[in-house]
Amino acid sequence: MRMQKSALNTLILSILIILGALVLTLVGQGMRFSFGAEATMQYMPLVWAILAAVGVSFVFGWVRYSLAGAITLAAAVLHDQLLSLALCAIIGLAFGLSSYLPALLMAGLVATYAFTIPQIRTARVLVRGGSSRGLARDEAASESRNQHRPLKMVVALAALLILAAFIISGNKHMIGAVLPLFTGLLSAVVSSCLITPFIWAALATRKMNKK
Amino acid sequence: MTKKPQSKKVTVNRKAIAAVTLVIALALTVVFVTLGVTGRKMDAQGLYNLLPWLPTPGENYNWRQALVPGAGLDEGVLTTLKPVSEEVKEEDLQTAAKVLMKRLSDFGWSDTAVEVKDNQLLVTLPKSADVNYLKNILTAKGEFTFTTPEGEVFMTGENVTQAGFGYADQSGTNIALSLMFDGTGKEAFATKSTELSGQSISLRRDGVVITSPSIGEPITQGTVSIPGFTLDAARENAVLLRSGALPFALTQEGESVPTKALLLNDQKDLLIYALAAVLALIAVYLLVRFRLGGLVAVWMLLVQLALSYFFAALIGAGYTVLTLSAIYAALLVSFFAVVNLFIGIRDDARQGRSVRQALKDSYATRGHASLDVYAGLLLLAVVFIMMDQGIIRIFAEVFALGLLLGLIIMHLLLRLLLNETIHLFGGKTGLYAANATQKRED
Repeated sequence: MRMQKSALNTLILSILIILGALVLTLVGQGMRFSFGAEATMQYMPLVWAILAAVGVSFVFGWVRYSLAGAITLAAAVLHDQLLSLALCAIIGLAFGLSSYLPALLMAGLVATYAFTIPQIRTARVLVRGGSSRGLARDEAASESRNQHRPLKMVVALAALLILAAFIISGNKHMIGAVLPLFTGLLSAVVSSCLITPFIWAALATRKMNKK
Repeated sequence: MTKKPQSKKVTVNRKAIAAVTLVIALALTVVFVTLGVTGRKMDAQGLYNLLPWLPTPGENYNWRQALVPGAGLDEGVLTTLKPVSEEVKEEDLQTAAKVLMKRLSDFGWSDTAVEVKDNQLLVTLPKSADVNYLKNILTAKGEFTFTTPEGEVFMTGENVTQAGFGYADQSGTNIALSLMFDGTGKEAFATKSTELSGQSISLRRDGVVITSPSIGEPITQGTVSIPGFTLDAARENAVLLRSGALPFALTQEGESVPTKALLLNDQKDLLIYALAAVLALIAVYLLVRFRLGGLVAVWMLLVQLALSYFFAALIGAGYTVLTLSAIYAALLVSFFAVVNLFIGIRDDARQGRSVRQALKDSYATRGHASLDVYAGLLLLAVVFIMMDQGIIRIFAEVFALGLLLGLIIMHLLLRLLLNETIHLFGGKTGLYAANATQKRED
């Protein structure tokens, strides 16, 4: 499995952010909450929820698409959830997080699914050829990403406007409360543009080589 | 030779049918949204009042009875609690704040705050909370002990790892408090219940005996179920056991006073106006890009929003950031589905297809992508509802309802109404997509 260098670099950057946030949290500096919400924060249900999201996405991707689609969707979910949580741990230092953090992290799955699934579908169609000759996997992944860019931009803009509505009507604590929605959106944009298309391409290429 | 009877040809005025369908759908929408804003008194029909459920700015706050706000988005009640003992450490106050938050969260109050200030604990509760009832739970130290009939303490609440409650029998009024002990507690309880077989063991809260069940046989499994509680008492004790004891007992300082919303600026209607402005911007975008099709899409998004608020009120979700996030996350999926669909229609129409054919094809191709997004997220929401007992579950319930509504509205209702619109207003490409090649439907 060979991934594009840019995708690998982005993935490494994400991992570094996640590790940085983990270290900050372990030394007691990350994950700052407002209004004593840290008392209600239970990490085990959050971990189980993320694992369930990854597992369900894998099964769903496998049933609807293929093993490559399943791994791509599961990887997108795992990446976005962990990066979103890590960004919350870091940016939350300035605003203070709320007790809604675990639930609103799951809300970030909307962006992950809306940005990743159409790309997987289109890439598959492009490889199969449809009315014309099929594209190579890498080309199909890039083409699919480019085709869906306007849609992604419009949806991301709508999401940002909704977040802006919360932020302008709220105080500093409101920013902390809706922060997981913003980080979820940001992570999904990053993964769908720079990582997951190339994971799909690399997996699909490997499958083809085996044949 | 008999003449074959001629079958009467029935001519259907498709335009009239389309007009009637659209008018009926529009009338239903107007009635539903009006009811959502005004509510309706239904006493004459022997029914409860239908409360308004759509958040609207202004002085009419009746909708807040249906969508009860938390302290985050509405005024709350500030209660000041003071340690009974004079000298307390800062770290003990912080521990006490955590215990109080756990208790409130366990009682289902997620939109609350506990802060330490000037050696006091400031507790912000939603306006709708029963402050007097909660005061008793918040001020109780919550120190549990297990004692012999002579009063000898052999175990404490710290040895309890899980506490719950359930029906003890068929009466429905006899509630049992069920406890699970850690290793030390299991051993201590096994020893004492063997020793005191035929006698009783008392469970004390803050030194007061709350129950003294008799021991029939030694209990060595590390779990007990103690019947004889009312529902309120069992719940209260379970919550106190789960939260752990306060480092000190608390007392209320002065009266509870109203306080402003935890998350909002001074102007609390601003959020409603801001969200309405965002919806207006989204509507303008859809109208400019997809014209008549965009108008129908805006209509359907509004229907989804009104229905989402209705069902959120029905399940008692409350007016909180959590509920709003779930409703708007589901609405965002529908916005994605609509834009995805219309881009497909526009692209097909540009290639010379009729709008009706483009609509059919777009539902068959791009529509399946949005169907996958709905289905995948719905599956996730159902899994969260099944596996989580906390805040994720509360979010997932409202989110699942929103997704289900979006799925039905965008894949059935929108399709039906777009078809009727094409019948009524014609399939001119320019009516459904900006900057598209003009082509009349065949």
